[in-house]
Amino acid sequence: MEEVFKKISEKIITEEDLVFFLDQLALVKKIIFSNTEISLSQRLKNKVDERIRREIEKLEERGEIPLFVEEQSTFFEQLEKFLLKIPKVQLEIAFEPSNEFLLEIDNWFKENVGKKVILDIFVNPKIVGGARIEYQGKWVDFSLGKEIEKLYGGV
Amino acid sequence: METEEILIFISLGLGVLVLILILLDFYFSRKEKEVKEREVSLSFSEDFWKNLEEIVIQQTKQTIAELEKKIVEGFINEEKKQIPIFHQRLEEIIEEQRKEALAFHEEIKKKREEFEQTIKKEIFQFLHSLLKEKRLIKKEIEEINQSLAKEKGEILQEIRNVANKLLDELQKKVFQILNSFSEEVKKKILETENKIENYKRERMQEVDKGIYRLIGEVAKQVLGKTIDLSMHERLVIEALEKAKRKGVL
Repeated sequence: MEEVFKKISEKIITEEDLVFFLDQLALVKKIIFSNTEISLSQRLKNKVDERIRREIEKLEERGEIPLFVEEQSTFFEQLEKFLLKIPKVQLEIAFEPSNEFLLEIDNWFKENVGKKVILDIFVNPKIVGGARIEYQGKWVDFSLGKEIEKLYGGV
Repeated sequence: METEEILIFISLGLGVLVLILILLDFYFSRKEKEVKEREVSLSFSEDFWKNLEEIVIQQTKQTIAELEKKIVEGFINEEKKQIPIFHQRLEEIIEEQRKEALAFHEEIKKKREEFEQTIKKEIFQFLHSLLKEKRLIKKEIEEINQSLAKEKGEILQEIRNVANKLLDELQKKVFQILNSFSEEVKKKILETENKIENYKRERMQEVDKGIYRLIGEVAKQVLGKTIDLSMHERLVIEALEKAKRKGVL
């Protein structure tokens, strides 16, 4: 089941993605016990975000979601716990990042740290460039703003 | 034999004796009369009469003695006969008395045992009722304690509620007084604060713009060129790599 959870978590990159996904998951958990004679993905039509519904449909097709409602409920409970345990990295950067760049950061973490992380991005143009990073209680400032401050003694 | 019966026998004996004496008296009277009647025809010497009288007296005495003896013997024989009966009766009475005494003793014993049983039972019941009473009292004490604790909690809550209410009322009154005094002042302060805030925001925006412009200029001077998106991205990745080297990641 953990492999399935990992696969699902691959699509959650930022804190906003996670919040959105958990909201959708709460809706799914509410709908699980109603109208059980049809499949879960059919039950979720027009009730949750279509992208989420399609993902669930794919999981159903691959037989990665249990058939019985009680087991489905447990599956989503455990998925929620799994997602909440993923570590978070706060990145303060000077520009609005594109989705592609966010994916690049995500991959960088997988390749260089060996972990899936959730990116909590905070845009602050005052840092000029580079990044301020906070991870598991540690904080470092590798921004250009700090370098400029060193050179000119403050802006 | 009872004392009364003995007395009856003695009375009867004396009665018979008296009767015999009366009969003898009657006999000698008749004899004397007849002698007097025949005195005409017969005359006896005085000695004869004296002798006769003595003989009669002696005979009478003898008869009386014999009678007495017979009566006494009869009485004694009768009494002798009565003794075994009396003895048997006495034994029976003794036996009855003994039985009665035994029965009485048994009854006393039984009564005593019953009494002891009753006393034991009553003592047991009394102790049982005492224990029951003790349990009830204990339960009542517990209930009283619980209700006291509850009442204590309720009283404290009541005090808290009253205190909170009083504080709220006091606060309201203070606010009302302050409001009534400073409504106008407050309004003016608020307006002024808003003006200051707006001015501050505008000024900050201007300053930010200036800073960004300045930063851009500085960055351009530092890096020798302006920062485009790809450079921003590269700088972020570099920052991550530095963090990794520093052991932050």
